[in-house]
Amino acid sequence: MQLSGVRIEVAPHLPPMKPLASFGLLGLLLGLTACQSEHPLNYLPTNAQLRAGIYNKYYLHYQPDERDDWDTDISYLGYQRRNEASPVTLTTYNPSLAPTREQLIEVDRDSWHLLTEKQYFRTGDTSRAAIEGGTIHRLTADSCAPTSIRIEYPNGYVVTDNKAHLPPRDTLIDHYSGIVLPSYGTRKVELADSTIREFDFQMEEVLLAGIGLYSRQFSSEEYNFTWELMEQIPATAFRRMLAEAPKRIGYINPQEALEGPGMFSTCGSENEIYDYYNGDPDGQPLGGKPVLWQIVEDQWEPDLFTGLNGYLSLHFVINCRGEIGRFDLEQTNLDFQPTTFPTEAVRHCMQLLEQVPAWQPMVYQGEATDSYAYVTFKLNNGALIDIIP
Amino acid sequence: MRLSILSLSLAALFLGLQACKQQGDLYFRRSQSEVAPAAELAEMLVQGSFRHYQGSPSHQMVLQEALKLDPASALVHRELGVAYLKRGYANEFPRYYGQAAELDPVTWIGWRGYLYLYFYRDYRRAIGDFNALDTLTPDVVDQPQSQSVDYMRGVAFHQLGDYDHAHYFLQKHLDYEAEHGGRRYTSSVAYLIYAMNWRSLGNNNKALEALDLALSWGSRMADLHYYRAMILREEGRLVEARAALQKACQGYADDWYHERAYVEEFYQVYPEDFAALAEELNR
Repeated sequence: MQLSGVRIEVAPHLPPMKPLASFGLLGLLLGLTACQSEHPLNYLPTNAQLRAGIYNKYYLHYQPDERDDWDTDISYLGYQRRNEASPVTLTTYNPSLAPTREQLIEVDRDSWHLLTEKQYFRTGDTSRAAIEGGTIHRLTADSCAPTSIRIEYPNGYVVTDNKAHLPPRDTLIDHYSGIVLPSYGTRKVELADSTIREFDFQMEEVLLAGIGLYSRQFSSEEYNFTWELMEQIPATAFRRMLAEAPKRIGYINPQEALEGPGMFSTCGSENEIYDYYNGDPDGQPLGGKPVLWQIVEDQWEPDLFTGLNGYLSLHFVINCRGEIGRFDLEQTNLDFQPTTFPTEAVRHCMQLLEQVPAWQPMVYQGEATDSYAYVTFKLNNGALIDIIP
Repeated sequence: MRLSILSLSLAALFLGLQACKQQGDLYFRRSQSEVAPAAELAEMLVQGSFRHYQGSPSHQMVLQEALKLDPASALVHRELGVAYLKRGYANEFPRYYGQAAELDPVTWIGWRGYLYLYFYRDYRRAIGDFNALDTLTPDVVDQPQSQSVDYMRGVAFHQLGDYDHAHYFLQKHLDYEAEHGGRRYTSSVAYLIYAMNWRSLGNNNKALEALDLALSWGSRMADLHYYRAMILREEGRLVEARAALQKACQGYADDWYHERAYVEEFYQVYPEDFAALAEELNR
């Protein structure tokens, strides 16, 4: 897969460069020369962008194996630098703009050098790597000596790249000057379970002045991938996107729980609540649905449901101790359109669920875990005709 | 004249610096990927979304990106609906699965029928979708979610209490399977539903015949043995019923029973059922 025929647009809300009359060519040349200090040949976003923070959005095209089809993911690289003397903080974000990795990089005219690296985990924890070597990019042809970089995490994950650098080439993509950095070498990946994979790779990266990483093509016997820059996002817009990023489907805000806040606690963090169906066994009433049907048979108050139709769904969390709480309500009529059920009916359904003597917590990888679950009471003309799932 | 040249040069220098300043404020944006056309890329993003936990913010963001690229993609709509479906958000069903079925009915209307049947127990809508799919593919027995539309229509009619129509479609399904794959390789749950439908029609002998046939190939399925025990009890054949129940208990203990991912299977059995039947048999 090759990126070619590059077309670049300027974001429409920004003014285009003003046309200059022919008599101003000299002045323009002088002006552009003067602004070389804005773009020292380190192929980063502009100083102003670095100070404010700038976020490059990439399509990450990936082919797990040569026999597989390519798929595409989204990744962001955030560049930030306090001042020109400081190292650059390069943060990788996942598609929902959560940081996954942060690198501190020393950038000069000859090279990019990795100083520190840390990983972010779903749980919110971070882990700092030990680094040996550290040259990521070599920007000049002064030396063709191979470089080595070894990044080791406390959990046993180690990646070592031994890389030979071919002479870089200058490039110009639209009005952005840049550099093409071809390299090849061997990558060794050691996993926590002592699995070791070692394979040859070839890589070509393009860095542009005013942008940073423009593209990266990596090919190997193990997998292939291509980073394709789609757009640069200013810090303000990125923060707005972050504020608008969706919650996981099924998330229940503890502050808005039907039973009131603070009445229920989970065993782990918010990011460690899975779904009732991920386990072995799954999260459910201990004894299965017959237990719930028995409670309904004994305690159902038909008068509360007279004339009601639809799916009354209670969403909740089963914690690792088999307790339930953090109730949320979804109300849909039999045509799957929003409706509203009387509070007393909802409360009664909630009480029925609370009458279940014991809930089986979802067991994930051998460990009882918090999980989101739901029970839907299907009503037809006031009658309970089914309990789902 | 000299002053004029100087002024022009200064003006040009100023313009040059302004242009440079603006270049520094520009933001790169690519109009489209160079790797694949939008519709193809949308499908690649759907595949890429699987790298993230289903329904997670990242999973949704990748799929929303795919939707922007190809708003008419049934695949993307369907994929966006999966987590809502599994997590019990009925109000999102029309927006995603419904939309997918409208955009690409041949591929998704049968799936929607499957979901009406098993996830929402909406038997009339399920039958409507299976009938519509038959109209679109008249010479094919469609198998959405690897289940024959005839079989599912049979189940839906059975659940509605229309046992004659249920029998027609279940029989049609079993005959088709016998011809194309062999009775022995037909799912035993189809025989179970077929048998229970015979029971509903008031013919326990036919029901037992169907269960015996399904069990004749050595099936250890607890549900088949359990319902056989139940019908035998109804027929007053208590000794045989106890033996069948024993086999049901053993099968269940060995994890031989039907269940369905995410939702309860029709006629799913539980240990409580065995205990209750045992009590009746021991009275």
